[in-house]
Amino acid sequence: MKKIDLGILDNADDDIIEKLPPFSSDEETRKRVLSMSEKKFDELMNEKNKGNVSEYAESVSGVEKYRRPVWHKALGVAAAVALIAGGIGTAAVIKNKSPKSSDSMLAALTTEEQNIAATDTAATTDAVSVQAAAPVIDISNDEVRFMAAAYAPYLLDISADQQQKLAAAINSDSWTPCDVNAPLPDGEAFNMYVYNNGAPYSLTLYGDNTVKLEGMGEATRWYVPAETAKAITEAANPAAYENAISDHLTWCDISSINVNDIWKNTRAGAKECDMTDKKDIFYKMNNTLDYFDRASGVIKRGGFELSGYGSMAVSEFQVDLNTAKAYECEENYYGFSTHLTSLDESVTKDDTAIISSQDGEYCYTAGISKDTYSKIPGVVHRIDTPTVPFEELRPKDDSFNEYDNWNSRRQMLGGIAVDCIENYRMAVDYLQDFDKWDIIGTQEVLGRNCVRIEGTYDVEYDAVKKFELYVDIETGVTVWMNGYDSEGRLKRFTVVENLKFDDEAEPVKTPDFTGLEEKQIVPHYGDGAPVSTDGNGIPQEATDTSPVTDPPADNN
Amino acid sequence: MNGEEYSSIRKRSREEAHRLLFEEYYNYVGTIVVNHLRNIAAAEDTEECISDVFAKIFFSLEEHPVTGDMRKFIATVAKCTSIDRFRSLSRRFEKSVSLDDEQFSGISSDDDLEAENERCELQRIVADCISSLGEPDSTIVIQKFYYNKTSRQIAGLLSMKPSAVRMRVKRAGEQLRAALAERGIKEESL
Repeated sequence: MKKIDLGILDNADDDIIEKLPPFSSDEETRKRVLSMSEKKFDELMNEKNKGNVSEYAESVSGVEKYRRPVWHKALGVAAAVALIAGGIGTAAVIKNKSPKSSDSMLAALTTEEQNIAATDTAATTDAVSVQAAAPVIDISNDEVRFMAAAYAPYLLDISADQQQKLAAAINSDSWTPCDVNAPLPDGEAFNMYVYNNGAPYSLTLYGDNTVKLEGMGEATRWYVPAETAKAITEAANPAAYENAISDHLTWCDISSINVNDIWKNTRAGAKECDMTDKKDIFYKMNNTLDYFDRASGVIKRGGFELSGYGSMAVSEFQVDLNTAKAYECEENYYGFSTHLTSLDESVTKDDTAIISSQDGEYCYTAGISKDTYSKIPGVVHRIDTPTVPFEELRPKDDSFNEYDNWNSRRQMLGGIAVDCIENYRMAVDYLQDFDKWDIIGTQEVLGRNCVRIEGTYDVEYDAVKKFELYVDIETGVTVWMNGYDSEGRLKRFTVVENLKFDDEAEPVKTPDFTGLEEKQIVPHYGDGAPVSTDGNGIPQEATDTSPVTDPPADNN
Repeated sequence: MNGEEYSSIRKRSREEAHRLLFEEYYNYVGTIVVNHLRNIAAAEDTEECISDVFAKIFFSLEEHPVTGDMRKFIATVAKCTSIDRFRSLSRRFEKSVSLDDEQFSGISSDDDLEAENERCELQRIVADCISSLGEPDSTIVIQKFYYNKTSRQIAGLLSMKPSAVRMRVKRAGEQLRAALAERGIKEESL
């Protein structure tokens, strides 16, 4: 029969590859390939033991000591890319339409490729004969960002010290022109982006000590002194920075890796939502993490018994989704009705605040015990909590029984500020059934422009039959929620005061655990709800401190 | 096998850890490699590339253990290596690697975003149509028309008789055409 051409499937996205029946080979082929792999692995190890690993690859490996468990996934890959020098960097290269090449480690895999590399360097190309005027490069007062295959798709924000050093080292007077179309050499390349007061340009350093300057629609290429190349290489190396991963590396959307857009991004492009549409409100509330990088505020959350007596938790919080740092200090108050919310004298207060925090690597909790604080590995970075499409947020059946209650992104911050920024209780529990709620309009609440929602359930759900909810239009986070029982009594409330985002947000506080004993806890979580070794669903203390990938699920 | 399990086995026996990881991910890596090299690589090049991928994975894991699910890590290394191999092969065959070459269409530019979206959508539909054939027909179709295996090779993989495979290739091929047509896709547009 006529062959069906399935070439359309070439270069497919991951999700499509996952759908395809996998490639397969007979046993003999598999054995042969495994044997080849082992041989090449031995060669790589021998090269490494001889010290033939590139200086840059070594230095990037050195960053490992700073790595956090979850970032490790992404940057472990980056480290692999540093060693093997390829794809992601290549992707960035292609996007920028400036073909670069592979690291020498890759070339070492086959002599054939080594030969190709040897004949493919710009160093063999003569400099252009016409002497062009050297560009004036002064980066001392600009914003500077780096991108390299070793850590793509993260970008590196240069420190002030490095910037001054680099500015002094870039002596463009001694640059000599090179044909901009000369072949690009194999080897590591570094992209430096300079904001230049709104007239951005980029500078790409290649292994043959040439740099390509691109900006304002023009491109030129120059030979630079070895000292300049060295300074750029050093500045582009995360190992040169203290706390590089938490303070200098930012994940960015690959489509924004260009001289104009790289400044804007700190997160993937978020879906535009129509906040007059139920579907979009529901989507945005479940994907709030796409709509801001940093946030801070004070959450007042509580509830009342029939007697009117109630409790209220007041939580000051700051979160930074890029660095996976967060802080929340929760104080608990008890009292009657309006006395409680106004925090007057009749209200009693727990003598210990509960502090929850993340430092990008560990989650910490203090206050539950008077003399200890817990330290739990397993922080999740935003890159590992991808956007959840609308279809996956919806129940699989009409009776809502098959909804995956854990299929949301709320686990990222381990429950910190969950009632505001990842308000799954509203988004999942109350808004799932679109017939049960209505959009009433928009209203400014506590300084935020909100969409007002009102809903009614057939029966009381968690003591609430009716609710009114104010959702921040810009981010999808909860600003205010009141829940009433069937008699119209206020049973639950959430109010978020002083809510700020991004540049206006307060910096993340660092908790002071001085005088407290550290207790390391290793949670063992499965796919969804907490599952421990004893089956109780409660994290157990353990001596094994190896990091885990799955984050602690909040128990709200 | 996740990262912790690999590390644990690695402590006992590196060779065993390599073998188990290879066995578990060989098909997955092969799928990614073929997906990138199918039009340019001979079978030997594909095998060479797969072995490169595993060598790099083993090498990287020596210094940088991965925690949790390793699939993403493995997929990234496989993709990177495949793209590099593609470039290498392109140079060998003196094929100009245009930045707009459809071999790189997995990485979209702003300019062709719409076309890229259409292509992705088409890929999804085709993948869905193949899945809808059910087993073993979906495997037979993909092995035959995408991985270019012979009926004998497919028979070996599926423990079927070559004649049975040939029969199923014909029938499944017709079903696939019908499924695509039902979704409004003509074969020539693939």
